[in-house]
Amino acid sequence: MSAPTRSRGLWTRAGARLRRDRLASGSALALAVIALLCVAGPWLAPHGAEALDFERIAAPPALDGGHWFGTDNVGRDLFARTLEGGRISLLVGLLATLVSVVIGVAWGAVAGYFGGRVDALMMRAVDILYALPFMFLVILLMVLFGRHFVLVFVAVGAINWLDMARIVRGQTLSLRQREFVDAARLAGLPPLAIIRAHIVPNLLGVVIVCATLTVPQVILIESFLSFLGLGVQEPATSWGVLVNDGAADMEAAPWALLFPAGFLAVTLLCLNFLGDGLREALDPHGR
Amino acid sequence: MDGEPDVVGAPPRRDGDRAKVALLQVHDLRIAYGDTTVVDGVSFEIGAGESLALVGGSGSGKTQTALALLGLLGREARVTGSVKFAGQELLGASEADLNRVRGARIGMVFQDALSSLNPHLTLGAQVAEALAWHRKLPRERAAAAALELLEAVRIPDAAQRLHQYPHECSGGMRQRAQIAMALACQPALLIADEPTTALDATVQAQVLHLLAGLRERFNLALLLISHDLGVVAQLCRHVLVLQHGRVVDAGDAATLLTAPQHPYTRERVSLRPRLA
Repeated sequence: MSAPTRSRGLWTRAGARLRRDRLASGSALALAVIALLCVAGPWLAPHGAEALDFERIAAPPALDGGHWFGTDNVGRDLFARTLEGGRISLLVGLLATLVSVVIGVAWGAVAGYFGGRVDALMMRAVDILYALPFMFLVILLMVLFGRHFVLVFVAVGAINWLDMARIVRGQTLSLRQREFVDAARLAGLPPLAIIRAHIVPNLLGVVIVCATLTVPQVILIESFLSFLGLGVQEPATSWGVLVNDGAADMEAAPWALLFPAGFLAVTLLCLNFLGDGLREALDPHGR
Repeated sequence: MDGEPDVVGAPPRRDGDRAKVALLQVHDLRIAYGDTTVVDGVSFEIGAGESLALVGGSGSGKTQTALALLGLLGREARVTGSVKFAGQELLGASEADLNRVRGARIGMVFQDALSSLNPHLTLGAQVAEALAWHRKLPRERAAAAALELLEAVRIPDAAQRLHQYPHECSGGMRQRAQIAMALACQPALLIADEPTTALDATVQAQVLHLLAGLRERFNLALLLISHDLGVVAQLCRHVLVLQHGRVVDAGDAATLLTAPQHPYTRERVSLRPRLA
């Protein structure tokens, strides 16, 4: 009765553990720096992302002149473009992943928990969506709503939650057999409260791993779509597009590949480390 | 339990000293999975504050009976008969109706506390959960109540334990926490399914002592499910012996255990290990 109740929720505890994990907290910091750079890009870069510098076409990186990452083959500043591209790539990656996590977890947990006919119906819907060719869906969306990169989130999210839903459902099926779910039913909790309080927290580990795998996948899908002319269009850009363009010209101007690819690789690596750290931090069995 | 609603139906068959109206009336309960009948016509009654033990070997249908009372069996189970709690029929009741009884009026304690506690929630959160749900208590009030409950089940340093996860506690502690959860809303009936089987002998004695004390304090009716006649003798007045899903023997715990008549009961009594 003496000590005041310290509120140590799941997340505060996980946050404390995460801070102790050097690799994960370092990755989080690096990600924050990259994100901040991308957001602040237009104010940081001496040149605009779309401005052409005819004096320096395909110029190598140099400190004087303001083209720190060099220029591409039409004379645009790569520093500005890399940061500009990062905005799109990060946005697409994080938003599409968020969408897929939210829909996937809700769908999968409900299907798995209720089982029986509900499950069959919900999972058949997933199967049907799975069977739709992805490209067809994207092109259809583009035709219906016009070309806009927000549609890329929608399309990618619409596909990615299917995997998440399947994984979550599988996990939920096994969690539902656990006695603590019976205990919660015995405590008189209704299904949705049980899903929220007992099923979802136990899914976090799987979901986080799955989400960290989804982000790079989404960024790559986005660059593929852009390459096909369905995603981001010139002069707007993304890391995927920059890497693509850079790769085409990498013998003559390797910097056009190296800088955006470097940013992309560091981001993906950090996300993986962070995801791994989070999974461990959220597991109550960890120290 | 004063203010118990009037129960319509036959007066309790157990005559003599207790003339109370039955809190739980189970009549001709049958459970079948496909062609296999696992519980075959079990009937019993428990009055408010009374105690009854279901005894039997493994596969005798005792746990199935307990789960059926609360509507926890899977869809595959076919359950017939009648289960009346305080006059309300529970078999075939809607989930919403069942949820008003479960946790609030009937609590249950399982054998293995480690698997019946959520590994991702602190003890405090789990104990407070039923309270927050049934009583609509705000978080701080529920937390304070959880602390009181943990103290009631005599968990040492309850204020600290409140913030610990199940794997950080000992087996006895977890079992106590489970009992606290079951008692959170002050139920009238506690169903305990092998509550001490997973514990070692000393802890077992403590938990039994605790259960006996809590029964007294809260005027709890108890349905104990056990294979262990030693445990039964300490906690229950009445005993029902199950074999292959049928009641083969019934009676007063004292007589049944000292002078068993039915061959199966005799066998079970003789199986009981004797210390000292």
